[in-house]
Amino acid sequence: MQVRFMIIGLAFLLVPNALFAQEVIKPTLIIGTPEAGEFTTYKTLYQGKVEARGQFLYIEYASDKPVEVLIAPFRTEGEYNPRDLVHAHLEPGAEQKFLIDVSGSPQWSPWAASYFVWFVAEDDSTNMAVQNMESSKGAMYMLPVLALQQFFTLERFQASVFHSLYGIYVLGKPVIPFIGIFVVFLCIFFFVRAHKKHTSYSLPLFILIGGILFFQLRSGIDMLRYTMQHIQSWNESGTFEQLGASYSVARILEQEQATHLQQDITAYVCSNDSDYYTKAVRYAAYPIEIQYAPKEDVTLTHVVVHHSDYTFENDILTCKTFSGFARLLEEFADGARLYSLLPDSL
Amino acid sequence: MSLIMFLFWLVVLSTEGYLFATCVLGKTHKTLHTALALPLASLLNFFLLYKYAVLGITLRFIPFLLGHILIIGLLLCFIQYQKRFLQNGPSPIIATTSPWIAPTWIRGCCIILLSISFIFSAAHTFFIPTVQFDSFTNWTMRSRISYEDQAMAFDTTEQRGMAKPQYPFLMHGLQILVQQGSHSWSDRAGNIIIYFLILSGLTCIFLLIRLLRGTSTALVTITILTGIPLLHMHLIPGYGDIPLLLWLCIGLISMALYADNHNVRWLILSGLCVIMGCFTKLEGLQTGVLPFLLLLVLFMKQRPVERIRIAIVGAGSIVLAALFPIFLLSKGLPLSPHGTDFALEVSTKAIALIPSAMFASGSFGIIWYAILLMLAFIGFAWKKHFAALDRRKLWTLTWGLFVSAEFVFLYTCTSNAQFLINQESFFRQMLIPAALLIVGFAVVLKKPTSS
Repeated sequence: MQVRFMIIGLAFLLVPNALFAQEVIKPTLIIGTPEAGEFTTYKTLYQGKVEARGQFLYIEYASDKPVEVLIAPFRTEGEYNPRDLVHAHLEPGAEQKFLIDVSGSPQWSPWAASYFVWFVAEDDSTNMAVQNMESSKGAMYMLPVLALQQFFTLERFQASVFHSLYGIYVLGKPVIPFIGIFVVFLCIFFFVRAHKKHTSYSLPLFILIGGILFFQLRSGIDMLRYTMQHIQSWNESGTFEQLGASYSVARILEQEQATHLQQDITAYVCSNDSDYYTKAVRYAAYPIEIQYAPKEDVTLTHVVVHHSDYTFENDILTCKTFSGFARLLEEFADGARLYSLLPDSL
Repeated sequence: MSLIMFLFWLVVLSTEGYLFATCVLGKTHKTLHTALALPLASLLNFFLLYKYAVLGITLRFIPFLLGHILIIGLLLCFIQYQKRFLQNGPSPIIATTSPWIAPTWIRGCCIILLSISFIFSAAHTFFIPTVQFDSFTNWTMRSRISYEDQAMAFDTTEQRGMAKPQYPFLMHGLQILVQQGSHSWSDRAGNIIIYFLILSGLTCIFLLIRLLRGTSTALVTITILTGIPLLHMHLIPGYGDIPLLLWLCIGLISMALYADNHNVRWLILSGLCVIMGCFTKLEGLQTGVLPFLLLLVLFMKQRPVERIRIAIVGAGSIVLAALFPIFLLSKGLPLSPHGTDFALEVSTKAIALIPSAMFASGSFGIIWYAILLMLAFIGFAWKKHFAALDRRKLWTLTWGLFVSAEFVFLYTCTSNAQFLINQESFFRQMLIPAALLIVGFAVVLKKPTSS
């Protein structure tokens, strides 16, 4: 009876009270997702450092409109890695209270002491006010579960440029050195034993091959998950990570060229993103000329607005330094908009 | 129309490559000839494109068709009379020791992993268009510009989309060829032909290791090779590093086969693979031709009787490998797109990054730990005269070690250090020595015994 009481009591102490009271939001990794580019066009409401230690970030706020929050544990004093950013969508409301589970970030560990927190919204009319933001520790017994979850978390990479892979992190530490050293140690141990006992060396060899295959199976699981995600995304919306709908944009431009036989069309991609999207459109639409910035000596016929601030009022499109009369031709699944410029602006 | 023309060119290339493989290896290894068909045909197609670029012949359906018909004709004539020029085809290699049979769980894991690699790469190649940044600038984009221009593009400014005319055009050549006869550019056809090229290369490695060490060793080697996380991802066509790596591995195993049965045909195949490496990426010169020539010197010392034959293969390789650099220089183009590639500039930051890049990043998994362990084991086995070690083939490891040292030097002591610090090409390029060493282990190790 006493033991049972102690177990229940211990469990009560370990499980944070906040868990019973608040809704828990599970944020997702942002790198390699279409939102990563989209948020660059959003307005920053607040960004800064929050001293906190634990699995959850408790937040009380009020907002008129939805807000996006991006969080990453600081690796060193004042330095975070954008690859570690997790994203959560916060609903509007007068008195909102949420617990954000930050353990989804690869760099998260129970010892992480501070976080980079960045609130953004589509525009600055949210009237957001954060009343309280503090850490809330998770249950200690959950650590192995969290570690296992982190080990099997899909490793994010950018399909557009995969020069290298970040690696799997568990509780803020890279896993590869642990597995590598463990396999090497086991192999040496069994090799020495086999050598002393004059038995077969098969076991250390099998451990080595098994270790390599185990790790490769782990990354193979990610490859299968990526295959599913990418194929699904491409089939359903014709978009795919940072590639977005660039191929669809190019198809419409080609159709436009076919209907404007007397004139070569030239399009300007107005984007706040890296030049990747522009290059993708340029490849897919070749030989149609695609420009990064409008040139004075070249007459533009089309403008693609992608992840950029713009206005379109009274048939006047304004995007960065460009301004002219335009007609909306098409809106794409990735949010890009293709405008055909009217003769007045040509 | 696109599909029909693609299949048409695939048949032409396969026939041509098969005949070329027969010329090189004789008639004994038909499965290997089939696997070698596309890689060897890509080499012949490169020479054709090279000739057209020099002579200014337009890259259209008819010139390509006539060129390939002529090549097939010449190959058929050569096969008819080849006995006058070369010795008979290589005799089938029978492993001197009984081949290692892997336990069922290892074979099962290998088949699962290979299936995953296949599903991932095939799905991305067949169903998703080009996505890689470099394809939009240097690789597929250049093929597309050349296809539209009907001439190989050598743009030096990025105005039209490409700015690195230094890239050799073995892969571009294939992409341009399979579009001939179609109404418009097909991105999918361009990617699928490169994917087939990569699959052919992997199959060749499997078949060659099987000849030397049996099916289990070949299966485990090919699985470990394709399962390196970054290499796994690069099975989707996009960069030239994977084809380069495959040609060098085939070249290395062919050399080992030559060391086994002293048939110069294997050495010719090895030389051809090294040349293919140079025509895929210019890095093939320092990672392929240079170690290949050094090993030929070693062979010449070991086998004075075959010195002339080896020298002819070496000289032929130098002449052919020099073709593209000479072509570039004759056009007034520098050999490297990065002006300061060879300026010495020691970077302490890059030196400090090497261990974490190789042993902690996700790109290589635990493969560099395994490589170091295997090297230590081989050193021990050599000292203790283990029967599991084929001492006569220890030189096969020098190729991988040489390339490792080259890249570590290049990325720490020259301006290329930026590509390590920025987490760029260093990782892709270090796949080359890793692959060469893995293949080297498969060649060097025999069935493990305790004696």
